[in-house]
Amino acid sequence: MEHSKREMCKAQRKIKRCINILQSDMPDICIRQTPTKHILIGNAGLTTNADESSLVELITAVGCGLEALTLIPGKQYSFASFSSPEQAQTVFQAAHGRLDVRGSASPVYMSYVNKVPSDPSPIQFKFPPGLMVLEDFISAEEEIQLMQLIDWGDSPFSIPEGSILKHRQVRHFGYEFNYSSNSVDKEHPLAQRIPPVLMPIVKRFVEEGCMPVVPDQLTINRYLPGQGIPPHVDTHSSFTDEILSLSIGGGVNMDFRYIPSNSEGMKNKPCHYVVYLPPRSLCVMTGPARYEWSHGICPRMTDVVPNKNSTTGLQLLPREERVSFTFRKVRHGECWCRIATVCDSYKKSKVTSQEEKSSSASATMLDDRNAAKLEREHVLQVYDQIAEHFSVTRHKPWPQVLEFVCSLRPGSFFLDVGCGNGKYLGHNNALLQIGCDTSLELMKICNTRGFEVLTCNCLQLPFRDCLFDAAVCIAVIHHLATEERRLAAVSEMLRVLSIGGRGLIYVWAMEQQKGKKRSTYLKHNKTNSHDTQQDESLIAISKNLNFEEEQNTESNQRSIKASTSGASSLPVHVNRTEFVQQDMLVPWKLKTQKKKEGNCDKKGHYEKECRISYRCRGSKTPVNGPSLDAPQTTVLENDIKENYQNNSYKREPQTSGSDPVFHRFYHVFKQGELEALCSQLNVNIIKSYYDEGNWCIIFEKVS
Amino acid sequence: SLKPNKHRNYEVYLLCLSSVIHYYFHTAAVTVLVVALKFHTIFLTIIKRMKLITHNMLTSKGMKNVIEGFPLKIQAEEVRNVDIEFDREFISRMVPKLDWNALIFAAQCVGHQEDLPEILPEGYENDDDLLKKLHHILLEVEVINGCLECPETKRKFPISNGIPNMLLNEDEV
Repeated sequence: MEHSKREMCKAQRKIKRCINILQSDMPDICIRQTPTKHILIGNAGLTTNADESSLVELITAVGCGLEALTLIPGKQYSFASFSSPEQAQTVFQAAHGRLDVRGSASPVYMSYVNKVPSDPSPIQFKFPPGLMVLEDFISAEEEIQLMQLIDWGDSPFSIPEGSILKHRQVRHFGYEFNYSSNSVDKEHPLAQRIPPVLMPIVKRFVEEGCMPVVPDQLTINRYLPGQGIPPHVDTHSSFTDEILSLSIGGGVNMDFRYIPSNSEGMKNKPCHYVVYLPPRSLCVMTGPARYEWSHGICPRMTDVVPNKNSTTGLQLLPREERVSFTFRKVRHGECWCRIATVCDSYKKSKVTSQEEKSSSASATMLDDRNAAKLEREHVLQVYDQIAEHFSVTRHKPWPQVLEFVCSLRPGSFFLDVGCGNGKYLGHNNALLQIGCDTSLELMKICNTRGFEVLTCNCLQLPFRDCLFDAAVCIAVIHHLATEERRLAAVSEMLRVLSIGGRGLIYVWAMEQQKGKKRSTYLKHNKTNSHDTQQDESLIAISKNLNFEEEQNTESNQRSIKASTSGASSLPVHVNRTEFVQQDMLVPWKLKTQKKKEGNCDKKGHYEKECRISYRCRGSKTPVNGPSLDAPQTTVLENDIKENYQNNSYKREPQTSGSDPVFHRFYHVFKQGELEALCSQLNVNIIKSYYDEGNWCIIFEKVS
Repeated sequence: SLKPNKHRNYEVYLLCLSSVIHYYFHTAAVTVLVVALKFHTIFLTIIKRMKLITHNMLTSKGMKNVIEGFPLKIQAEEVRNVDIEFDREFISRMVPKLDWNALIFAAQCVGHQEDLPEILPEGYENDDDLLKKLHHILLEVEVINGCLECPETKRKFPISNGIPNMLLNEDEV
């Protein structure tokens, strides 16, 4: 009697303490002295290493009628709900102050409460947009290999920042990451590259489609239990779109928090998602997860993770030593996302544009005026200058576009926006066909081919509303520098379409390799073969193949960097290779006919070649200046073009340095980007597909 | 097709001629061909000028401060007639899309009003006479040189070599 009285007093004291904690956490839950259906278990919860199985064990040993258990993450208490107060009472009297939960040193202390919390956890185990976790990415053997890769004995510790000492150990390969400036030194790569033993895994990244190209920077972090990393967004301007993180050793919970993009922030609480990264898994951060959500690991000894088998769906997982391998590709040039709160490139540009009036040389961000300027310099002017050569390389229409054109009803009005040399005009003469483009030189070429054309900009189409039954826009909007302008181009196209009218858009895809099948653009990369001059000349490229690119195949040729109007920060793409970034300049090496005329003046072996390739030019009489307005695309169209391509490269003087090179601006599209763009308008998307290195869409105007 | 008949015949003719000559007279062929093609391209380079059907579609609405920008006034320096095959179906289908008043206006501008009715009559699909007149005015009258004038701002869009230049300047957008 005495013993139990003393114990009862002790139990009362203990439970009082628990009740105080509860009431500060959840003030709407009240204690009851008389039995109710719900019991508070004050000192057994997720943080005390209890789980629902041990609680169930305890309760069912002394009573029955248990309906539900509520365990609150991060709390030391839990709740048990019974079907009747009497059953609750049975358990209470048997367990309170007397029985231990498995794994605990002291007995449980309980109290009756009026209700239990209904929504236990604000933690959402969801993925932020753009995040993927690929489980079992590496095998157990590979994991062991990786664990032994680094000897952490004397590794440099990460530099403390502010008042938080990180304590975790790091190693960098490829490029050094500077924690004080939070960026990469792009000019000075480290001598140590990504260790070759990792190459098979790295190649797997590209094969599985996680990254378009192999990464060139690696950071290895070692987390001992209790260590973490503060929430951060990987610097926009330092790395490209994809961040890959391979976890070995133990699993961990990673916290993702949304960084609101405007100063007022979100009306309700900002989003916080928790993602569990199991060992041997690859975490792929792209899109918003990479650019707009911060990620971090809380320094703790345990994690609460989802568990399908438990009634609460949760379980407590102790931390183990974890090593993460973060693979990234260093970005050349600036980031174009323009989200002020998270983008360092944008912040930098705002500072510089305030400092100087003219925005040409140092502008890295694009507002509309700069975008227009960039397009003028690196699209409009370039096409005017390369018109003839360009036209010659564009003679084979894409079959699916032709199908679209030929399927239109007779008498339909058809518009080709950005018609170039009129490749898609003249195929279905039952239609009224109009073509337009910005380049006058190209329009002259169309004119001589008998097409009704005019010059205009696709952003301001000079046509009335609701006029055309169909319109195509092939390889045009990837030349527009900002998303607003691209959207404006599509909406202009939509404006001139009649209701029910259909549009077809083709844009260059970032993904040139679709499921291991390389597009013809990539196939003509001759790096793999010996790079002799002869090989280059034997590339009779455009004769039979149905593809859409220039004859530049010298991948060892790096063209001059662009100079003005914001283009200085754009990387120059190496032709016939995978795209590394979405915004870039693509070189065009101009092969002019005027050169041939110069050669024609000399008698000898050039004569014969001229006769073969240019039937219109006399070999005996030197031709002064361009003899014809139109290039040989008129009468003996196919013949001449074939020969031009076949022979002109055989005889190309080996002065590749002296050929003028032009840079065209491109924003290549990622999968789904074109669809997302069109979905912003009032359209029905009829078909969305991939065609030989292009993303394509057919839509219908709704109203 | 909008290509004039007789010119298409010329094309075919020259093709045959040039291949035959080339086959037999390798060297001489080239000179002959130069001449032939020069003529040919002359033919080709003169066939394409702005048709009135195109004018019926054009507006200067892309300019800021312009509300309608339609119809544009044609100031033609040189106009010519070409010969296009009459396709009844084609013309009938075109009619509903036309702005009739703009068409009358355009016809007046180029001096080809040719008793087109002020209002489009009903049952035009069966009126062969009217359809032929439409065919002529829409497809066979071409503006070689001149300009298109915006009714609100009076800005002139030049037509050269039959290609209207509707590109706007930076400050006009």
